Amino acid sequence: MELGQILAIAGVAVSVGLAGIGSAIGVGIAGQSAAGVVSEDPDKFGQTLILQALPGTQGIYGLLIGFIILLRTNFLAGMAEISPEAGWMLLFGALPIGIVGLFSAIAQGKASAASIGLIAKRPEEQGKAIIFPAMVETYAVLALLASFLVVWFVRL
Amino acid sequence: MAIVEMKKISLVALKSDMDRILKVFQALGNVEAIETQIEDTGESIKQTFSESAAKKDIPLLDISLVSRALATLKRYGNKKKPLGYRHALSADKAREIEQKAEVLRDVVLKCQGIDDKLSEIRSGKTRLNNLILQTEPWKALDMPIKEVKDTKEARVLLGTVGKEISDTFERLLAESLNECWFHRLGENRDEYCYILIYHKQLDKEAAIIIKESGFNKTSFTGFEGTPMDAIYDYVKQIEAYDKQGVEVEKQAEALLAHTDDLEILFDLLTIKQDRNAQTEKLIKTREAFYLKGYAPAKDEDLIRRKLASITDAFRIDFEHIGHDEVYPVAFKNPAVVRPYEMITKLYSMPNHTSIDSNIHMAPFFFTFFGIMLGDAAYGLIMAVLGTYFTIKLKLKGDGARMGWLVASLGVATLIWGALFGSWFGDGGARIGIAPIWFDPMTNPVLMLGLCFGLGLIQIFTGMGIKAWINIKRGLYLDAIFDQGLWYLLLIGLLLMLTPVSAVGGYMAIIGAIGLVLTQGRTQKGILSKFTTGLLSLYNVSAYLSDVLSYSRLFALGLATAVIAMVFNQLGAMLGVSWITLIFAIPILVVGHIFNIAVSALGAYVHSSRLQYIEFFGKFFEGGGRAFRPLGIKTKFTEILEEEAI
Repeated sequence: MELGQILAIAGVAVSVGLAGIGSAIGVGIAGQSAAGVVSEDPDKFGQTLILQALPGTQGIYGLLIGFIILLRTNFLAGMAEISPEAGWMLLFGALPIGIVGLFSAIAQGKASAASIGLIAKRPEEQGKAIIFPAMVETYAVLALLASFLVVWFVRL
Repeated sequence: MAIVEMKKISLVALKSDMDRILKVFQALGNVEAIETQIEDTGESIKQTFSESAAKKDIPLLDISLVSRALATLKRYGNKKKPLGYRHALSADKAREIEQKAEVLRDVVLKCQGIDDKLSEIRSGKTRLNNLILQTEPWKALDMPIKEVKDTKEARVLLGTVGKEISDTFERLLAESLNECWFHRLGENRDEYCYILIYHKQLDKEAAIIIKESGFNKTSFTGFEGTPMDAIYDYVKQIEAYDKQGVEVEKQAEALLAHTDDLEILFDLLTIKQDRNAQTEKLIKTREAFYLKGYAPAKDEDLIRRKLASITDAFRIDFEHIGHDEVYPVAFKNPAVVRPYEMITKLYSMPNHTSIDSNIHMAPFFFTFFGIMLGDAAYGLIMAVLGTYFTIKLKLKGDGARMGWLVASLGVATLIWGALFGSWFGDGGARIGIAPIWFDPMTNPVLMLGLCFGLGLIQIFTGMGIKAWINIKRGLYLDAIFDQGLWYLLLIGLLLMLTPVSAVGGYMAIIGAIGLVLTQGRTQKGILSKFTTGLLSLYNVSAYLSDVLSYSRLFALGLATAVIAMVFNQLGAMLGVSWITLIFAIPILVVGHIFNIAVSALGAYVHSSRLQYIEFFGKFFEGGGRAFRPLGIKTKFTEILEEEAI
């Protein structure tokens, strides 16, 4: 195995791993709030579940970039030759969604938890409650876009 | 299309007609009564609030009791009704139910009895099970509890000691109490149960050991025999409860036949309760009542005609609402736009002086959702399921709006998915379906261009709406300075990127100079006018970030496509043979269902966000109060004729 290939797989690990950790923490934070609200009023399960799911997207974005790297390096059918330079670029391309995914998912989890509190008091304000966590996600979306453009267009 | 024009209504009629008049309003569903207070407390009007206005045709029946009874019966195998089934309620049927009120009241009370009995049984069984758990560790004690007591010379104790200190406890006893006997009878989760006997002279030494080892004295109340006998007794009591449970079940099953009637009764009572809630808002005298409220202006004739058909002893006035008066807001839109009203309502009702922007917002929401979910097969599924359930379940009101929204967004997704050539992700491409337009994955630059282009269109539309609101209010200068000049600057900047960059440059410069000169016009003093004007140019970056925000259209579309691709790849890795299909099909089905759920949620959230922040931010004036007319809400029935209520 050569360096380029190793770096490419490191890129997969960074994007899937870090973004996944972030989402797990974020969804966990929101889930704690949601469980508290549902214990008071079980009818709010659906509404709070949607809010809990919001910080979960970063993990998906991370998987998405990881999958694209695997696809580009043809990993599933015997890995292609990759120069060290290309390997580094794939790894750095994976960093935006990995790092931004990690932190934004946690921040979004906190915003979701607060919005779940909002739903507890004013269930009719679901539209507004969803927007606050969605504001945070914007930056994960931008990172996803940057990562995608890099890993998709790197010349191997 | 527009915010519905309202008129203020004031109605005076005989109190004997009150219920019938309210019924008419309820059936029409377009009159909202408001809390009325008498401003002029002259002698002529005397309120008689003490008198209960609502006739009690169905005596002593509370809605919450009926709903509880239905819940109770449901637990005992309500017979399966086809999905979306509703009882057809004719006037005859309603009368029949009303005549049966006494019988139904009996049923409801019986259900309440059953419910009480059930919770008694449940708590009784819980109590007994706990007792058994507590007594179980002691069952090795084969003498009656009442005989476990001190003798003349000896102390006899029962008690528990934590498992981790039981060794110390036993050692201490053996070392310091020479005349003692103890025995380990049993254990529960973290304690051992002991019987301990020692000579009374040793009380002092024993007390120290007992204290140090945390020996917890146990005494039994409630039985006198051996613990084993007590457990037998508890088990027998539980069996007795179970037998009662079976009996209660039989009683409940006998009542099941009344379920349909109870459901209709529930709806009738709900309707009546809604109506009675309105009567609270009216001013009543001995013979007459006065209702103040709002109704759509176009319904004036209809309301008059309906009232005239039941009585001639009334006077109703429809008054134009003054310019500075607040009135409730209702939307009036073509049927295709109506489902999208929900999106606006979730944000805020527009102010009554503002405009109804649903018709402008809907095409954007439609397009953006379509691009973000962007899969023809998913769209087809949503459109079919949305339509099917809305019709099959005979959804009404918000439910129907939701259903049609899903269906219409499904159509959007189908269109964009077909344009992008995405059918179950790359599933279509694998069998050779080509995109009608282009594949965003292979041409991301064009895709980003499309996103930014759509963003620009929406932002310019938003500014246009704001300009229109200004013009409608006669604020022509605001429209020219705040929107016109920005149009000039922004379009100029855009043109600078094209071959006619010189024209663009001039436009941008004129726009910028204009903005510097006008944006500080509300400030006092030349200097602050100028600085405010200059600083306003900083908003160019706000417009830039607004446009860039639309890149999420691409990113979310990408997410849908790639997740679908992941599952397709997993399925394909198994290869195509009859045996692997058994594994591949569940992976594909579950995977794509997961993808629809997650991606549709994302598409909904981010389409909403683009409307709320980027679009509504340009012009929306919220804070309106939604029009909430008296209407008919049913859960189990479909009203066939007006007379039924």
